[in-house]
Amino acid sequence: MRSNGLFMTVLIAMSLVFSVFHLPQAAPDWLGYCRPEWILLALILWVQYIPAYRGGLFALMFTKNASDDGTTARRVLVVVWVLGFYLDTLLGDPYGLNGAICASIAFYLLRFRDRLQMQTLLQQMIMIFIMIFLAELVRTYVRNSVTGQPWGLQPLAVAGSSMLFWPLYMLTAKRLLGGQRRN
Amino acid sequence: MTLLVISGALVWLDSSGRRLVQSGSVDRLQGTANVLWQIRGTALSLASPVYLIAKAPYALYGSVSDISSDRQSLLQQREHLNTRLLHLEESQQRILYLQAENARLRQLLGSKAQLPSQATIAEIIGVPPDPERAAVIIDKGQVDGVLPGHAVVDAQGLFGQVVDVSNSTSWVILITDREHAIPARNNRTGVRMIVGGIGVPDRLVLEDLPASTDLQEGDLIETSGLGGRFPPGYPVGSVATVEATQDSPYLQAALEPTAALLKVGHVLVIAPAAIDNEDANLGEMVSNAAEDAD
Repeated sequence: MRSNGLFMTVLIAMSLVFSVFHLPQAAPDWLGYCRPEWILLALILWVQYIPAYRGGLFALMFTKNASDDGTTARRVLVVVWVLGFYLDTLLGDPYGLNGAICASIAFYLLRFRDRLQMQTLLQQMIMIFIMIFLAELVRTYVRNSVTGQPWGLQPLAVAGSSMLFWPLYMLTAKRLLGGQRRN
Repeated sequence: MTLLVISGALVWLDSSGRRLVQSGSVDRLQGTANVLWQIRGTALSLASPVYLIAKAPYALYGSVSDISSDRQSLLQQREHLNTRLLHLEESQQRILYLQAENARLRQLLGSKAQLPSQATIAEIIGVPPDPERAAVIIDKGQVDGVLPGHAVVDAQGLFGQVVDVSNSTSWVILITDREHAIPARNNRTGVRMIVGGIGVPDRLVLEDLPASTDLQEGDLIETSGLGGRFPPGYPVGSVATVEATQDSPYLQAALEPTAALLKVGHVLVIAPAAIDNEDANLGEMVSNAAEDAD
């Protein structure tokens, strides 16, 4: 349990750093558009594959007085929303944008967790592509409305790179956790 | 659902607050938008360590490069800097003479002298990863006297302006951002114009310039000081292309920014200087005309 908590804390901290890591100037421009959604990948791994009541980030907060899965799920959603709030500050997005995205994805994963855990790797990749593509569409729409950022292929590129990165991401996490990752 | 409703309300409030801040009306922020702006200031301080960690590999590379520099290259660098210092000292002597002459002429015209601007040296500690966003994060904030709207310059020219401020860090939007526009003038002819960003790191455009305007490739465009946000006389860019077409009554002109927007590590934050009455009145007239046009 403790190793799960430590693992997820480190993973989310690293994802935050990777989210703001800028590429070297010599790197081609298109590479900037193919950046995987590190935080959403960490969130998916956390919510779907490491149930909160078995450890995970802020494990104590989730387990204390958590009488049933519903209470736990609500707490997960609130913590995820707060994480999104921090991400808004980090990326300079309007407040509430990343909170809404993260909480929506967490809600979907918690609601259909049992069904999702039976999926094959390919099905998981497709699911990740769809979720991140929709999240990027919402993000681009809000940025377009607020800052005039133009529409482009970024939602597609980010979702595609996240999807392709997922098998490596998940298998590495599985190896690091030493097989503890189950419901 | 509750979280989504709260998020939607926050997005709306924050967006309207941002518009006020970016238009320089921080004092018009009220209620929740004001609270959100204050929260963003505090939260930005919490975000700066993440940016520092993300920048660490580049800082480490720089340190290793410095350590591994050999004696010969250091000597060459010193010689180059000494030569540059001599040139700058010579320029400074001329500037002192010109400043004195300028003060005398202003006295003759009966106009008030411009107060010197206050400059704060800041280091760039982060760059947002989104390629569509032209911005940087600097290590100076409210405690250092930095406020939204302050101009930022580097050694070569205008760099951008401060848009968000926390206690110890600030977000600076670059002049190439598509939301950014600068009141400018041609250094050669004195013609006033608006320079806008298009989101491309090495390009700026001159907006709505009549086809009859005297503009040549290589002309230096500098800040005009109108509006009072950017101090006058800072280089913005040099004209790279000028095209006049029969279909359009406007010139299609592009600038190459003089500031090293992608390479610079340190910048200067310039607090707006007190401007004399004539310039202020002119700036106000231009602002009013722009509002009427909108």
